[in-house]
Amino acid sequence: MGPGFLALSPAERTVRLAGIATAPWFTTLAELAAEGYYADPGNGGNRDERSWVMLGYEPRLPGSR
Amino acid sequence: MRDSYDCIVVGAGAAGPIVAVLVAEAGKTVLLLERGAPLTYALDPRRDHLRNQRFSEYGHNAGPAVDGNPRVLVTPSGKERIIRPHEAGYQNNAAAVGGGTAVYGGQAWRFLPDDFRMASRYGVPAGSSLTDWPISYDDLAPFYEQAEWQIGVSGDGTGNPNQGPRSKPYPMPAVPPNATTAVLKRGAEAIGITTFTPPLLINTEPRDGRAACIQCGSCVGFTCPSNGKNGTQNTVLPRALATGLCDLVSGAMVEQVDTDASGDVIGATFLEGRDGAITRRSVKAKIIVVSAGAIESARLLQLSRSKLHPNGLGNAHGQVGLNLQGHYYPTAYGLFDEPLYDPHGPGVTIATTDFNHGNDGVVGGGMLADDFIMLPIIFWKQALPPDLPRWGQAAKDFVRGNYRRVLQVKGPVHEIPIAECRVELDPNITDRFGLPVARLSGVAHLETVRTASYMLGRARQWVEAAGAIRQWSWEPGARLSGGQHQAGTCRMGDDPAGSVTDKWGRVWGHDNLFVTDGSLHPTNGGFNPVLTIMAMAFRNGAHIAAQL
Repeated sequence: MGPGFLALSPAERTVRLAGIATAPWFTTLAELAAEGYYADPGNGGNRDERSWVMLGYEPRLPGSR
Repeated sequence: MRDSYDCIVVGAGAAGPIVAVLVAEAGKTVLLLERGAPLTYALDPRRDHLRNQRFSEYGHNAGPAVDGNPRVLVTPSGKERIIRPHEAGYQNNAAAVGGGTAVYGGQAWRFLPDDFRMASRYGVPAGSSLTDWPISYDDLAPFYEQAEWQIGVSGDGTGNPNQGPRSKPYPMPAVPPNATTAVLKRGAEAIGITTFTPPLLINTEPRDGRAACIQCGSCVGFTCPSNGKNGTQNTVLPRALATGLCDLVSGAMVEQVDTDASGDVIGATFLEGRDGAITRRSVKAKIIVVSAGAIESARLLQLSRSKLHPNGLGNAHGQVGLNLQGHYYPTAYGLFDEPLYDPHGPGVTIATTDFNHGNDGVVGGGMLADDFIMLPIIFWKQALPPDLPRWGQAAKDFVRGNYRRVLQVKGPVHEIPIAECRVELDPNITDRFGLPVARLSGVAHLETVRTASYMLGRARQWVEAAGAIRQWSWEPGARLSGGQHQAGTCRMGDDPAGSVTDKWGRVWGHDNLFVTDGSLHPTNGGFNPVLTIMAMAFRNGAHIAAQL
């Protein structure tokens, strides 16, 4: 992602990432991040089901929020 | 366990426990062997969105285990790849008590009358092994009814204008509509296709001492929180065990069907792995029933090699393992202005069978319906438009804005079988018990791909007519088919040289060896096949019990 990435604004980061978006390591990393973000919290990501609240998924299992 | 049984059934999936209950309730002893473990919501309520039948890149909650259960896939170019159960190309169904029925969505379709006579209706395409079933819809209809009433189906018995004759309604009313139903109904009316509520193996009211569906919205891939989804594990299996005549052993991998010095079938030998050690037991029985799914049943018959049966049992004519098929599943996604997400499951609410037959220029067709409620990770993996970036703000904005505004229409295509799609034993690779694994090869017949492409067009037409502001889909390509709807590898027929069993699932050359599961299907219908597998088990199981 290059030096100084963390200091960039979100828009600048997007421009920087667009330059590497088709690199295999990056597409793999993006899929892993999405899996953690959109899957169940039992897998260690999506804390407090925040992605589910964002997109509007409503689990209806016993004990669901 | 007893020293010997009247009957041994290999596999406690969609068919095996049905045979077991019919034998046991006839007063005979039966040993039911299952390689997988018990699987219920009470045992493990977790919804693992990364390890289930719709997304399995990290494993399968319903088995088999990632390690120790490989298969070999031969690619069209002849390259061999070792595939683990969670990897693409394995063609997994499940390894658990109840098999796939413990975690399925439970669409409960009867095949149509013409599904049993595809060769007569369409002719045999060059290079295909298309054939008629040796039985008709009318032969199977009473057993469809037994499956619907004894396992438990909800549905609208008068809704399907293309169905064969039925003498009773479904035992439970159909599932209620949801937010997508009216949208797709509108589209169907615009293009003049008939629709109705699909039948499901799900309780819409309390039945047989178990609760109704609580509409949790996560049927496919998971056990049921209310136990209101009907599989074999919570219906016929407890009935069989209650007789005291049926013993169930899970974690039991059958190594071979045993034969004596004359080549006659006398029992089965199974392996159990406990604490790092493998134990082996041989049990005698008067009748053996193989019910392990199309890939594993074909594998077991081939594993049962001996001096008199050098290619395995029922394989004197090299028919075992041919004609592997499943279902291509063309799917059209549509984006709508209006929100149409509804959290109330199961989610399948509207179907048409108008395109199962009589389509210009293609052989057969298939049913189309909406689908079970989509988990967010499945939306990400399967439902994003192909031109959408899969990273960054654009991807996140699409998911945030549209998860509740996308619907899909999809359906199983009646495949045109081809002998070259096959299951053999691999000469080199073995499983955790040291048994040669299944070796899968072949690609679907071109007519299957053409019908799939045609059905995708019909699905897109329906989505468009419903008012989608945008739609997307993927054209089908030639590949090996199998998976959860796997079928065809021990086809039944009237000719011993061109099939593996007779019309009762009795393996040619053996009076007391039967197969009953999807392996028997000469063709696999344009529908989810499980009710047909169950109906065949009721039919063949009654025949088997009458022999004892």
